[in-house]
Amino acid sequence: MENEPAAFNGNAVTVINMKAVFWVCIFTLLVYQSASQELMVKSKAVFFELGGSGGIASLNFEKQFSERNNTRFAWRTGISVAPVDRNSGTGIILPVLLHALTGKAPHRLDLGIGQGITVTTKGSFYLLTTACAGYRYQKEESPWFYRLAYTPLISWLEHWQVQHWGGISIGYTF
Amino acid sequence: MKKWLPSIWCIIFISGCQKDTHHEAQHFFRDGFEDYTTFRDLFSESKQRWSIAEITHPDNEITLDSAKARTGKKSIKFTASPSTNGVVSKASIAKQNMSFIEGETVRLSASLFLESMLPVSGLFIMDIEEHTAIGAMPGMRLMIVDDYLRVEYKTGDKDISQPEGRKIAFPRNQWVNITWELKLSRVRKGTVRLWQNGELIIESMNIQTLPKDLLYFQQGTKGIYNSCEAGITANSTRQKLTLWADDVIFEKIN
Repeated sequence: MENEPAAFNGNAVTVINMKAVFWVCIFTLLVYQSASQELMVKSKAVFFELGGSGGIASLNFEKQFSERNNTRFAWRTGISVAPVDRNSGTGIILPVLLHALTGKAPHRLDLGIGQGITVTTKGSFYLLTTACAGYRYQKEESPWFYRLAYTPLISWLEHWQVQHWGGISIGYTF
Repeated sequence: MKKWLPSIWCIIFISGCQKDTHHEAQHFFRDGFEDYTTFRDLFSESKQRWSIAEITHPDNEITLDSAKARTGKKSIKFTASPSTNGVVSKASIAKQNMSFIEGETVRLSASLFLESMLPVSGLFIMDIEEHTAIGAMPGMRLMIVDDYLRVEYKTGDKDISQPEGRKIAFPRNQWVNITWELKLSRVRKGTVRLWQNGELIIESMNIQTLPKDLLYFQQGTKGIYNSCEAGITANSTRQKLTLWADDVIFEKIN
């Protein structure tokens, strides 16, 4: 039997997980700090997104926390699932984003950025950056809105990769 | 705080994009199974030997065999029953902590003896995989279908089969030398070549040979294969099968 000396860094996975946890904490603090600011427009919404930041599909809750010069800022969180396999379990996906909706009703540009947090039923944890650039349609007098968006998924923890993706949403504001 | 929010977001996003460039792992591993007394000797904590064995059925087994060898005096013998009830039947050994990265060409070779009086279809005999944070260890593997070797992607892409009209069956009940070369690429710049007893039976160019992230189903791919597996890596046939392996080599050739 022959082989070169092995020197693989077995602690690499631990370092990456700690890095991910650190940035999740920073991101979560920012989201909640934004949410706790005094509301200019109190507006909540629930929406279903096919494709998009949650992967295959997701259910989401959104809350607007600020409005300035025809731009509304909102935070959004959702839930989705991604079955992997028998050994790896199922991924529970939590997309968490900050959105900026700019323009005048019924047409708005919807821009967002955040993280897609994955926790599997086997205890694995991972992060992707999620972004959004889309068109949102909602009449002033209607609680319903519709959105079509480009939602790339960006891997950054270990290796940079961009997956081009998109989503269609239907939602209800209250 | 509000006016600093966009700047903070930029810092978080940009600083998160640091690549881990620290790769210190093996590019070469070879085993003729002559140095062992027992099966347990194949594994050691020093990472210089095989890393793990996978035996997923109570009737499956892996043993050292001094009665049959391609070279020297010993080989390793794998026996596996058919897969049932959704559980993949495996009797295989894997070498982890390897490092074959994008742009490199990796060669996996072995002498194999497949014992069977019946045609074989659905037997997996050699895998190369990437350990990912989320995912089912994506990669590629060699598979025997209707007595012919082919290359299969573990994550759904179309198999690479021998060209029609020039297929050569995998000989049963005799030693067969298999050499499998992959030029690694996550885009369509990779190559697969497969030789059977010195004859080139598969050659496919401008293909993807490394896995990429796939939504949330597969995350954390790094463009590196870090695990090579040999033996009966899955028995999806309807018969209990025995396979001997000798002179296994995993190496980067350029």
